[in-house]
Amino acid sequence: MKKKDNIYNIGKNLGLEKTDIDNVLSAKSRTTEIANTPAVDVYKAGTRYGTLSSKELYKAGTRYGVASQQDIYKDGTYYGVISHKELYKAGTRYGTISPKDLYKSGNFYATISPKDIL
Amino acid sequence: MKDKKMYNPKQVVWEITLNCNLKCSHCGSSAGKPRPNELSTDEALCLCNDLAEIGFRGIGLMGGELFLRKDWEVISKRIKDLGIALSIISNGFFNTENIIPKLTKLEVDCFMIGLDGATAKTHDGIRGVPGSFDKAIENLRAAKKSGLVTGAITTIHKLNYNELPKIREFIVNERIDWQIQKATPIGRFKKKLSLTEEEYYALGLFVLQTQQKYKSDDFTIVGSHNFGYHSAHLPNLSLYSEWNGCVAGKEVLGIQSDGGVKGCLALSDDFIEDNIRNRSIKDIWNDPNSFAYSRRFEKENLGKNCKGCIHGETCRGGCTTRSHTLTGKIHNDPYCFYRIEQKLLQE
Repeated sequence: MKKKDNIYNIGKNLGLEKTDIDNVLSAKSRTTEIANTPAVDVYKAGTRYGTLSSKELYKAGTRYGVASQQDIYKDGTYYGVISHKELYKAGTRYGTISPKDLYKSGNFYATISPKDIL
Repeated sequence: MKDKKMYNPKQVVWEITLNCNLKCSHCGSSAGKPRPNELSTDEALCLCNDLAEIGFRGIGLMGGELFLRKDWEVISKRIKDLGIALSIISNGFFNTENIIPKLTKLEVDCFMIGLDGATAKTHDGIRGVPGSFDKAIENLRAAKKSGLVTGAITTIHKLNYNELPKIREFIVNERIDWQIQKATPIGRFKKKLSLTEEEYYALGLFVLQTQQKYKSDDFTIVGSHNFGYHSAHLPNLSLYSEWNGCVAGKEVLGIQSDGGVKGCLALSDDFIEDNIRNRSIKDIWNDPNSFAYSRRFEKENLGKNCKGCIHGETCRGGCTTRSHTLTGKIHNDPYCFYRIEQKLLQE
């Protein structure tokens, strides 16, 4: 049996329809775009996935940006050294910000949505 | 790639005792009895101070079952007083009236309880003690009700895999956070109960579907920090905003109840760097020779599962613990969504 068929069968037990799985697997590969891109350019773009401009990524406070650490910290990312109080305001997992805001931020730590990254 | 700038102390996971009141079949540290020479209260408090001085910003306390250690509250209070975010991971088998008010008073930043089944039969079977399911449910509800940031951690393997949809029902009804992690065959957990690669990939699809279908203002559903890596088709589903290699010994530290120090608590004892009774944690952390397996990664270190991968340089071969446990090598983690997808698409 093919591995893909295995996944269809396994998925059924988890409530996944074949079409759900096919939709994901047939979607445009996020990797193709960067497959032939030199790592240095990918880094410059700020993410392995990114089509986002560096500027936007820097604003989002990712690790690979050219923004100073201070800027990143100010941005409130998980990687910063800002105080917990500030982190809470920035919407980290440990913070007092609402889950709604966390969702808006696309993940626990970042301030940018997956949509923007992808 | 030597990236010293990334030795950025963020999170400590600290097993404050190995003493445990459950006998979980998936326990990675084979908890039960306390270690023979666990840290004293004074040593533990001194360690808190040192971790703060290094600059760690979060400490997660766990066990064993941490509440079996009599001074857990004293240690927790010190962590909070030092301005460090405190998260607590429990098996949920504790007296509600005794513990929950203390957690609330401490203003614990995040409280997680293990939930491994949708039924008592499954959960108690895995956890090895009747009644553990009912207590876990009772305490999840009590913690949520008390206003704590509350979540369930489900460790997935063959014994509970098919109960995921039912566990999800509970999570959605109770509106608590949910973290899903794949069991790795360390400690008591038997390799034959591990998910296959296909089951693991389907788990990724399940998490994606769950995030999309049950998106809510009230709770979050994620995979563990090492969930999947650079999938070509699935978005990032993990606790981390992006995966840029194992952070053991670079951003994360694991501390055993006897003072043993590892880059990550889940790593085997082969990876014990030193003991805080020999050298202070500050000396261990700041030693340029510490955690060399993680800090001194070179692309050439990638194992056969990862060699030639376009993500190799940043992914660094995935989770060190899982890679080492399953293949005997580091930088070689086979449980990678991208790798699995390559196989699927080649068929």
